[in-house]
Order: sequence, then structure tokens, then C-alpha cells
Amino acid sequence: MSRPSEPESSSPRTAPARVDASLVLENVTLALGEAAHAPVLVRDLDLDLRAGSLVVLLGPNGSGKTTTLRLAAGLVAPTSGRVLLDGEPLDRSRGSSLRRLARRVAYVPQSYQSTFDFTVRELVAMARYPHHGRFAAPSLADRRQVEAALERLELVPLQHRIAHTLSGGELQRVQLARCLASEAHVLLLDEPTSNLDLAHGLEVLEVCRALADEGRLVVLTLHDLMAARRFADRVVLLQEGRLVDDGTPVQVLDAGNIRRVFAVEASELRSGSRSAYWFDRLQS
Amino acid sequence: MTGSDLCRNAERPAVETCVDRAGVPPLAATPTRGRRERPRSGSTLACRRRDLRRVHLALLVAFIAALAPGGCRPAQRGGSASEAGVGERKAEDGGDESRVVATAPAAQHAWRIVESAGGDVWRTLARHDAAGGRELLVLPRRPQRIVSQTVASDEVLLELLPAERIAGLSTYSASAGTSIDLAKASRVGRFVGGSAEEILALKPDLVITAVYSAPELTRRLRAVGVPVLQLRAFDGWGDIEDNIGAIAAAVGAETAAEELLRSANGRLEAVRSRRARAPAVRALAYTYGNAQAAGSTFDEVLRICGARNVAAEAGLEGWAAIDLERLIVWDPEIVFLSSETGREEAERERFLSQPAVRRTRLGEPGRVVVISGALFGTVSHRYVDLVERVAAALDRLSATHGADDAERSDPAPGKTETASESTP
Amino acid sequence: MSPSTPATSPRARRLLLVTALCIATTVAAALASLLLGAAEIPPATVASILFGGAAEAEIETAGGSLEPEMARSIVLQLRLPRCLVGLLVGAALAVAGVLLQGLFRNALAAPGVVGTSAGGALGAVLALSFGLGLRSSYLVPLGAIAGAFASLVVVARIARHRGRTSITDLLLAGVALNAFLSALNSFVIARAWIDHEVARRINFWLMGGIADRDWSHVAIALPGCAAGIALAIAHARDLDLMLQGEDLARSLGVDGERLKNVLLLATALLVGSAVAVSGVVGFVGLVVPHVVRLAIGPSHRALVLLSAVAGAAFVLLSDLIARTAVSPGELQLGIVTAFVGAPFFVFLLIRERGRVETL
Repeated sequence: MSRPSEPESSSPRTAPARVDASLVLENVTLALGEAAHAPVLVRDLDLDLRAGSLVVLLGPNGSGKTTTLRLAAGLVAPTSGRVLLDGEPLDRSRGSSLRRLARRVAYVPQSYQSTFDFTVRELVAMARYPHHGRFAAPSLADRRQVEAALERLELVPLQHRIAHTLSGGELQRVQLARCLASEAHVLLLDEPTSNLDLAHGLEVLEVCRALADEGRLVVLTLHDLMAARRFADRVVLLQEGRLVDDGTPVQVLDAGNIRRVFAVEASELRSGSRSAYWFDRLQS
Repeated sequence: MTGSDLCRNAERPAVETCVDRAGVPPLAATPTRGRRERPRSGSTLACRRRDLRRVHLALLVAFIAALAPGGCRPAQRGGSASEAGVGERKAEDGGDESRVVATAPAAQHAWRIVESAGGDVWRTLARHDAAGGRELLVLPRRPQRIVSQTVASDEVLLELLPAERIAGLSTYSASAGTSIDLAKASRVGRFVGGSAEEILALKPDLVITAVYSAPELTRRLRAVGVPVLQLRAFDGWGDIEDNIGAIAAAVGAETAAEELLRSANGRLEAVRSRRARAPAVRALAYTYGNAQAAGSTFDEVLRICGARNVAAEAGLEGWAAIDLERLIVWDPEIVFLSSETGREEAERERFLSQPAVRRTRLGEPGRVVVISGALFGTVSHRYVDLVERVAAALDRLSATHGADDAERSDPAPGKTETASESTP
Repeated sequence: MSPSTPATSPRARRLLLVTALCIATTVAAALASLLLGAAEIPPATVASILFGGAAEAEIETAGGSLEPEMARSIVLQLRLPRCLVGLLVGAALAVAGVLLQGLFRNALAAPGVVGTSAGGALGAVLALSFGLGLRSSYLVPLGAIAGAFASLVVVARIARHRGRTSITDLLLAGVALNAFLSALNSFVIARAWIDHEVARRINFWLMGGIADRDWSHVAIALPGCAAGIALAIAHARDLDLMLQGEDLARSLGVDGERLKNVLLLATALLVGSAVAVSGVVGFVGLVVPHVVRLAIGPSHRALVLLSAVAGAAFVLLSDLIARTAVSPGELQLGIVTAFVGAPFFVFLLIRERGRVETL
């Protein structure tokens, strides 16, 4: 296990950079139930995601973004097709394989509610549970990972606060800290900026960007096209469970795609190297 | 209208219809009429208050049920539910209670015949209750179809009357566990549970219930004009005598009852005088973790048999839970247990399976006496059989261990004088 | 900021204090339960009996003298089993409460919620009404354990839909089953009431308590309690994760379905064993986990361990009250736990209502 390479820095790197990490969805379909007319959440999806990049899944509500993330996290099994992590199919059959998977992939659900009064530190420490045995106490290494994650996300002053007394932004940082502490090299985050104000939303995205730059694979779902354009290495555009387009933000987020998928007319406004969109609803 | 006005209005009709409580047809209808006459507002308020009380009660029950151990103490819960039911009925019946004429304080609570063969009524019985009211039982004719709802009255009826006059016995008497007169009971053949419909189907002209029978059963039967004799007290031989007397008066079997009681009292007196000469044995009646202490029926049995009740001497009253260590420290010379009929030996073995108990003198033969529960808890004339059974066990004990115990018996703290005087 | 000082957490500090307090209370309660009793055996004698020392010729007590063999019997055959059964029952009920509160994400869940206690009681009541109570002292307890298991199997079957068990379904099924089993229980008792003695025997058992327990009761309770508590400790962290949501738990390596089954099994073992040897003792499973959670937080490893200790202390202390409050008579243990537990619980709820923010 590589330890933080810049121990004196204010933002130590807490996870190993795995350049060979990959998450591949091969012709994945997920239907609800066996019937021929059962609703299909994701259809014939092919994705090949590589470490060191920040991938944003975009699409209107119900386009299958969350389902794709859950498939990638191994929370649901595809009806057909395969999900490969580092070239191996996800194995969810046994408790031990689930725990092994948990050490490699971290997942942050969109909505989160904690029962009982867990503190920030306790929540972050939960990322270490898959790393130690049932009866074993947390090791010093486990504690170091937790400390480092808390520090990196500036949660040290909040570490003894009870989770549900935190603001939305703070809670989202706690979730990110948990992902960091898990040492997973694949981070899957479902709408991490929802319910956050502008500054906190930017902060979360900056952290995600940095984590990707350190060599992790970070996959987000977002609704904010401008944020996707600014932070993503790659954008995957989904509509009704199908892949519409996949490529760099500039390629994917053109006016035609946006009109087709989101039913809005987008005008791009440029100012130097920066750009923004102006949206008008299409009159149908 | 103030709140107190409303209250008064709500209660007024009840006060006006102050009549005797006993079930005679015209009177039995009054509660309904009384309610109908209430002022509308008063009645709705009364209803509301009743509902409120019911809601509170339900909440209380729900709260208890929710907090109660795992919500699963069926007997307890059943108990509390039925208590709740009683409370509710009492609330509804507030007027009913106050209908009893307030008369001079009663000196005698037993039923007695107040008039015989007057007009179209065969006999009227009356009793004073503890609250000073008077309760009447009007019998239009000599009962020929009697239904009994307590084991004790089952046994007494079978003793006093030919089976043809008994229309039904309580279901308890159908099983060997409770009834001792099984052969006699089977001659009647009809056993009815506590439902008014079942009882009415037998077209009874007298129903005998107990104070612990469902209150609405008594009320319902009276409401349709069936005379109901409700037995109130079962604490000891005096009450049993009163109950036998009341039953005899209600069914017209006074001579047979007198004979029964004379013979019973004779037998009791024989036991008393015989046992008075014997050394006072330190005894304990112990059923399922409970000692029958002062005031219990068995305490009286022990006193008649000239034994000292160690639980009563320790200052306990009624049924008192004690642990085996306490029992060992009391060190009784004889212990009476109760069990299912036919399981007496198994119960004895179970009791003696505890090594610490076996190590006491109770481990010696004849010191653990198991009596079938049917006899152990009897409140009919069979009480005399119980007394004789206990006396016989004490006789045997005195014969085998008498001298031995006299030297071993150490004085218990807080003992009473009754025992010491007869210790040789 | 040094990375190895997690003990600075107020909770961690409190954990030490609470642990010490719980253990001390339990030891004190156990000692008191061994030393106190109707036969006033001097503490030194009790100690020498317990540690196998030579018995004196005659033991002087306040009430007179006692044969040494009798004193031995009282301490070893009456007091020690009672104390051990109290420890086991308290620990089992408290841990069962922890598991169910975690499983249902509701601090008001109790071992009775999924019908386990009712099932256990029904099993025992059936055994008693068939007269098995007199055949062997093992049959009634085994009936209780079987009933607890059966009720859980039924509740899991009802709640399971397409291979999954939703918490809501489980809770509703538990409530329904509880009501049904209670009705069945009442029915059996009502039938048994025809034989007055059987009904009395049933009532005596249901009222419960740990008076007059012997070594057979210890033997009956021990395996189930030990297995149940071991399962609870092994899965305590999984329960922490489950409380963060099933998706999150799964992403952190917890098979939710399997966990629910394991925890229900553990609960059945614990409640069945406890009901088997003590009848129905209420409030332990409700109050103890709640109080311990308020003191040390919701992390289940510590919660399970400390609740076991605190539950044992609670039952032993309640039993001491039951033994001494109306001496020379006794109270029912369940009455004492309810009397002590209910007001304390209400007090805690009121006190905690205003202070969510603070740690």
C-alpha cells in the first residue's frame, strides 16, 4: 500500500494511483422483471472507463444515470451483459467477494439518511470496515487513513459532530472523505452537487477533479451541463436508458445533442477560454 | 350550561330510577328508559365523556401493551384487556350502580328469604351489600331449570337436587381437572360456557353466577327477565356456608342444605377437636411459587387442622410469592402442593428435584403432600373433604415423625401464640 | 494533528467511563445477589463455599444456625444459578434489543416487535398445556426456543418478497404476527383454564422472573445466549453500515439479505433462550440499548458488548429489588423491570428531546 507521497502537504494523497484501473460495461441491459414488456432501465450500454479521468453521466430525469452507477457499483446485476472491474467480472456471490469489491469501488448514493447519532469520524471510519476482520479492532493504518481523509476534506474540526447536524455541503464532504478513506480507486458519486449552493458545489467538483488527477476513476452524475463541460474529461450522454453520445465535453455537449436529449435550445456564450450556455425551452 | 349542570343532568335519571338491582323484568328495563329520558346535551356529553374515557383507556392499554415485555404476556394482557372491559362497562353503568336504594347499613350480607308464596311470586330473596344497598332476587316460581356457572355451585346443586332440575352446569365441571363430582355431573350432561345466548337457549328459570363471572352476562340475563343469583364471597367456610344457604333458599332445598351443613360442620368439628390434641405442625401451602398466607382459604384449613401456617406467621397475607431459599429458611415440617389431577407424584418429584429442598426435612417421606388442584381450591361443601385430607396428612406425619420434629423444631421469628400453646 | 489520537473523541473517553461503570455495577449486582438471601449466610462463608474452601462445622446466621451442607446447597444450587440466569437473561434481552433496534432503524423496537417473544411464549404455553412441564424441565424451555424460531420463520416468509425483505414489511408482519400469536396464546390459556391447575402453571411461568432457577436453566440458556451474542458481535459493524442505507451498506461489502437473516436468527436464539428460562421479562430489550446508545453512541460493536453487560446488571438489580422490596415475600421480576424501566425511559426521552446538537 502506498502511503501519501507528500506527507507535509495540506492535502495528502490518500489513495494509490492505479493507472491500469478500468471499469467496463459490456452490452449491459437492466430490465425490471422477466416479462417481455418489463420496463427497461438501461439498454445495450457499452462503456469503457479508465483510471485518471473524471467521467460525467448526463441526461434528463429517468435516462438511466443512477441505474448505470448502481450497475457499475455492483449494487444490481445486469439482466444481460457484463460489468468488468479491472478486466474481471464483478462477483457479488459471496460476502467475501462483496468485501473485496468494497475495497476497490466506493459509491455515494444521491440521498443519504443516517439512523442514530453517528459522528463524522465514525461515518468516515466505516470505509475501513471491509479492510479488517469481523472481530478485529481497527489497525493503526486504518486510523491513519481516516485521519488523512478527514484532513484532506477539512473535516477535522467537525469530526465529533453528529452527522445529521451538518449542512448539506459538509455532509457531502463527509461522503467524499469516506470514499477517500476506503482507498478505492473507483469512485461512483450520484449527483454529489444536488442540494448544494454554488460555492459548495464547486468545492465538491474541485475535489473530484483533484481525485481524478491523482489517478482514480471518478464517475459522477450531474444535471449541470456547464459544470460537466468545465470539470469532466469525458461526458456520457444518456436518454431513456440508451447511450446517445460519449466523448469529450466539447464533442458531446453540442447544440444538436442538447436539443435532442434535453429538449432545450442551447446558445453557447464565449468569453476568452471560458464558455457558458443560455437555454431556451423548445416549443413543441 | 356549566359543566357541573351537565354532569348532574347526566346522572339525574339514574338517581330517579332508584330501584332494587335484582333482575325482575319490569325493573330490568329501566336503565334503557332512564337513558332515553336524559336531556340531549347531557346525554351527548355523557357519551363524549364516556368515549374520552374509552380513548384514554385504549391509549393506556396500548401504551402498556407497547411497553410490556415484548408485548407478549398473554395472560397479563388478557387480564388487562378484560379489566379494561370492566372499567368501560362500569363507566357505562354508572347509573346502574346508584340505582340501589340506600338503606340502613347492612349487618348481614347473606341472602335471606324476605317473603314467601305471595301472589304470583313464589319467593323473594334479599341481601344487603357492603355499600349499604339492598339487592332483591324475585323468583316467580320454584326453579326447575337451573343453570350454574361456577364450579362451587355446580357441586352444591348436584348435592342438593336431582339432576332433572339442573338444566346446565359450567364447562369447568366437564373436565376431570376441576370437578370432583364427575360422575354426578355427567348425569346432567349439559355444560355451558359463559355466553348469555347459550344459557338462554336452555330456558333457565334461575342462573347462578359468581362475582367473578363476566358482569355483562349477569346484566344481560337480568335484562331479559331471568333471575340471577350472584354469589359474592368465597373466603373460607363462613362464605361457603352462606353460599350453600343462598343456593338452597333460591332452589327451595333448605332441608337438604341444612342436613349437608350439619354433617359438614360435624366433620369439621371432629377434625378440629382431634387435631387440637395433636402437636401443632409448622405447615406451608405452596403452589407455583406462591405461599398461601394469612387470609387465604388454605390458611383457614390449616388453622382448623391445628397447624401453624409459617407463611402467615412470617407476616405475609393472601397469596405471596416467595423463593425456595425463603421456604428452606422457614423450614416447614410439611408442605402442601397442588397439581393437576393424576399428576400428583410428578409434581412432588419436581418440587424435590431442587437439591437444596431435598436436603431439608421435606426430603423425608410424608412431608410433601400433593393435593389435586380441584380439591385444593374448592369453595363448595367439598371444603370439608379438603380439611379431612389435610388433617389425615398431618395425622400421618405426627404418627411417623412426631417425636423427631418436637426436638428439631426451632422457633421461627415472629411466631404467634396460637401455635406455641399447643406445642407439647 | 497527530494521526494516532482518536481517543481524544468525547465518545471514546465516555466509552471507557461507561465500560468501567457497567462492569463495576454488574459485578456488584452479582455479588449482592450471591450474598443476599433469606438464609443470612455470612459473606465470608459464601466466599469460602464459592471458592471451594472447607466448610465450617456450623454456620451461625441471624435467624439461627445452618448446617454447612445446607449452606452449600443454598449458595451453589439456588443463589448461583439464579445469579447466572439473571446475567444471561439480561445480556440476551439487551443484545436482542440492540439487534432489533438496528434492524428496524427504530430506537423503540423491542424483542417483542417481530413476534419472537410471543412465539416463544406460545411455544412454552403449548408445552405447558400439553402437560410437558411435568415430564422434564427441559421441554418447556425447548418449546419456547422452538416457538421463537417458528415465529421468525413465519415472519420472514410473510415479509419476503422476490427474495428481499423490506424493513417495513418485516415490521408490519411482526406486528400482525404478534397480535395473532397473542390471540393464540390467550386461546390456549382459555382452553387450558378448563383445567385450573394447568392455567395456573402457565400463569406462573408467564409471570416469569428468575427465582428458583437451577443449573438446568443455566444449561438451557447458555448455548443460545452465547451463540446469539457471538453472532451479534460478529455482525455489529455490518449493522452500522446497514443503518446508512442498504445501497451504501452493500457498496461497503454487506449482503443485506444475509445480514437480516443472521440477525433474526441471533434474535430468536437470544429471545427464545431468555423466554425459556425466565418467562417474559419486559423493558430490558427496550431500555438498556437505548440508554447505552445515549451514553456511548450508536456504533454497534461497543453497543452490543456494553448492552450485554448493562442488561445483565439491570436484570440482577431489578431482581434484587424484587427480592427485597416486600420481603419476606417477592415481587415479580417483570413488574420491577417495568416499574424501574418505564419512568427512566420516559425521563430519558424528555431529557434528550432538547439536546440533539450536543454530542
